[in-house]
Amino acid sequence: MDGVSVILGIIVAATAIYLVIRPLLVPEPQGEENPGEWEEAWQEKEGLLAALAEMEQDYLMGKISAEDFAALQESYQARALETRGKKGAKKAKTKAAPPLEDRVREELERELERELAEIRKKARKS
Amino acid sequence: MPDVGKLSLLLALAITAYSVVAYFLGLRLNYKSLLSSARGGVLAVGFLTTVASLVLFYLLLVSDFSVQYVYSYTNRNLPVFYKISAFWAGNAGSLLLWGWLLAILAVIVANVKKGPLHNLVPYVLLILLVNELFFLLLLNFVANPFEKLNFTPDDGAGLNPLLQNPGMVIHPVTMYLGYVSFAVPFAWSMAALITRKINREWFVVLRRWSLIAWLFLTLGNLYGAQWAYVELGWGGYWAWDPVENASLMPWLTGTAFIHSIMIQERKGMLKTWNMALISITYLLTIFGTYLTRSGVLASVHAFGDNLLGNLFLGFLAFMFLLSLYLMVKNREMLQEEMELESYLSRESSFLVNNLLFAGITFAVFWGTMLPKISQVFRGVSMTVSPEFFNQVTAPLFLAMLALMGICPLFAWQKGSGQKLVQNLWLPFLLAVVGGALVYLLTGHRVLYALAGYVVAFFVALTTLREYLKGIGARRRNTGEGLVTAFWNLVSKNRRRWGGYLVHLGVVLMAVGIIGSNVYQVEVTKTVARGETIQVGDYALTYNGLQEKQEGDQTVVYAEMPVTYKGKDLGTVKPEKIFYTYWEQPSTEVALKSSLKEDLYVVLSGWEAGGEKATFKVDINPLVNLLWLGGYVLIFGTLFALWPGEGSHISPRYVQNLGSTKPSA
Repeated sequence: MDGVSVILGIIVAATAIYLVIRPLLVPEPQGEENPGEWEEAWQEKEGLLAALAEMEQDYLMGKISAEDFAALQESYQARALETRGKKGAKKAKTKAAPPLEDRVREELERELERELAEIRKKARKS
Repeated sequence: MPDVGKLSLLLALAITAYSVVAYFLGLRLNYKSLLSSARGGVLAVGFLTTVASLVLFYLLLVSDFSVQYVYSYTNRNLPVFYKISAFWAGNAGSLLLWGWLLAILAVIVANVKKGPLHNLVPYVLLILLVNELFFLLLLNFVANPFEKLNFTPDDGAGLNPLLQNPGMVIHPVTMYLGYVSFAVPFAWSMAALITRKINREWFVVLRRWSLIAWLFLTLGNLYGAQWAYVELGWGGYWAWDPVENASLMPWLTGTAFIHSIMIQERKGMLKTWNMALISITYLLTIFGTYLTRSGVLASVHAFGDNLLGNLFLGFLAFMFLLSLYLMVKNREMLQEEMELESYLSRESSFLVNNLLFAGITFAVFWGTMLPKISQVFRGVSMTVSPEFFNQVTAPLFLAMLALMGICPLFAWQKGSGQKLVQNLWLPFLLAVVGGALVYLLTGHRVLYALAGYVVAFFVALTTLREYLKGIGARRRNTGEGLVTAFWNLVSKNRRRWGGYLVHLGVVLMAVGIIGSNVYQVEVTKTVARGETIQVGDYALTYNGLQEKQEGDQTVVYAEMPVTYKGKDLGTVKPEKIFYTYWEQPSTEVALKSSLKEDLYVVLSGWEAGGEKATFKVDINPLVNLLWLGGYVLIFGTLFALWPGEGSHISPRYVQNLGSTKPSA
């Protein structure tokens, strides 16, 4: 083994061992690892809205009958409102939520209502 | 310098073993520092395998023939480009490439930002590290690329001439990336089973990794086919060779998974099937490596090594049992959330798609393994010809193609028979007219090929109609202009519209495959100097052989003027290359390519000092559509995959109240 290889070997080994040992000596800060309740509810709402949008697209592209679309839409609107209700209940229970989170939630609820109103309007037109 | 490579691999093995134990204990004891240290181990293994790989590149480039691997696969006169590709020319180097890529992927996973998936990451890394451990054990104790010879030869043995092709530089890397990347969605799936937690981000990550792996596997297969076409000189690109089949099988099950995971994502259905499918896909990548390494089946692509093959088989069995155990243990979380509500729905068509893919995979598996199975049970090795594969899989592929045309016409959850017929009849009628035109204009009378074209036209028409109807619907809704409506339509749901682009790529590929297989014209003829070979409308004149020296290679070639319907097309120059260090000469195919067809010329041999020569001349109609379709498919996948708006929309369907049984 030549001198350069010895030096390189030592540097490589020291770097690798440092990467393994360092977290044992200096604990890393732990961030938030679990989704909050509001995030799960937001995801559920986002999924329902995306499904509604996809159904509407399928309806406009002539893949689904008006009756089936209306029935599905009604079912999804009911579910979306139910989700909103749950979120409202959660909100009441968690009064100490950060103000920013509250603002985001309220904005999302307004957005949900706006989108539902748009869908209802389009359905009435058709 | 080889010692630095050896040290890196040994240290990587030790740290991988430590990290596996650290993750296991850290998760059991909820010991955060130990988990962080294990994560540090993942980074260290990524670093060490990178060092080992750089050392091997360096040794290849400086031609250090004291290293057995460098001696076996290179020589001094090898161009730098191929010295680099010699990295994966042999067993030890390709195992290092696998281990290196896997370690890099693990580093990427380890850097997932904190969030809803953070709790799953240690489990994912644990599974990936178990894979890494296996490869590092092989690299350290079975096939070490840094093994030294007892002496330093003046020159190396040289690289197999068949591997000296640009396709062979890209094909193995993309293929390995495809194989290795499927370990990641498998690991995410196993992590979800262990933690019993599936959320929306999990679907996003799983889908992204599956598509990345699928994309690389597609590229690998495509480049492999191109390499076979121009380098092997038999006129085709796919011979149903065991190693080709080994890379096709995970591609088939991976494609099925990419479709069926959408049903789970949207409706919470097919959970067990999806877990089984991603496990099978991952296991097939290991199985493919076993086939390539073991020499258990004869193949032009295989490296024969019984010990290595048996070790792969052992690892395959271990991972199979592990995934089976996890699925059985956590079967409650795999309960279906919803039922199929309508037979005329997108999800029902995906179910048929999955059945067809499963059928094709089984047929390919059976045909590939039959020689071995018959040898084990009857003592006689049966031969399976390419005709078996063509006859069994062609109808299934055709049905699959037809389904690609019908599937987009269904809505999710609840379609309508009447609407389906309304959307179906016009493309179908136009496709039949298209087929009839092909029949009348080309004079080709092969019925199943015509059926194939009708189906391909049908799929292309329904897919294009989807784009047009989508644009129309958007314009009516928003009043946008044509181009804006098109861009907003596709960019706001890149998953769907990128997927349709992939379908169009498949259609082009299907047309190319049918054309080049069914309508191929093949002539093998011996001609004297001055004589002409007439093939279809092409005429090639033989004017004798010439010879030139390129480095230590002697190139013998025939410069042949070509005319098409009397019009001059220039010359073609088929070659035979003789190497000082290799017994067999290699064949360089001469091509005249157009979108319509390839003129494919091979210099097969000569006699009387070149007074007479034998040529194989093929006309391969539409073969370039196969490559073009491949690139459309890749573009479509990238479009669907690219992060940002429209790439992660995942609608969530709920059971329609009052619906208990599927309706038609």
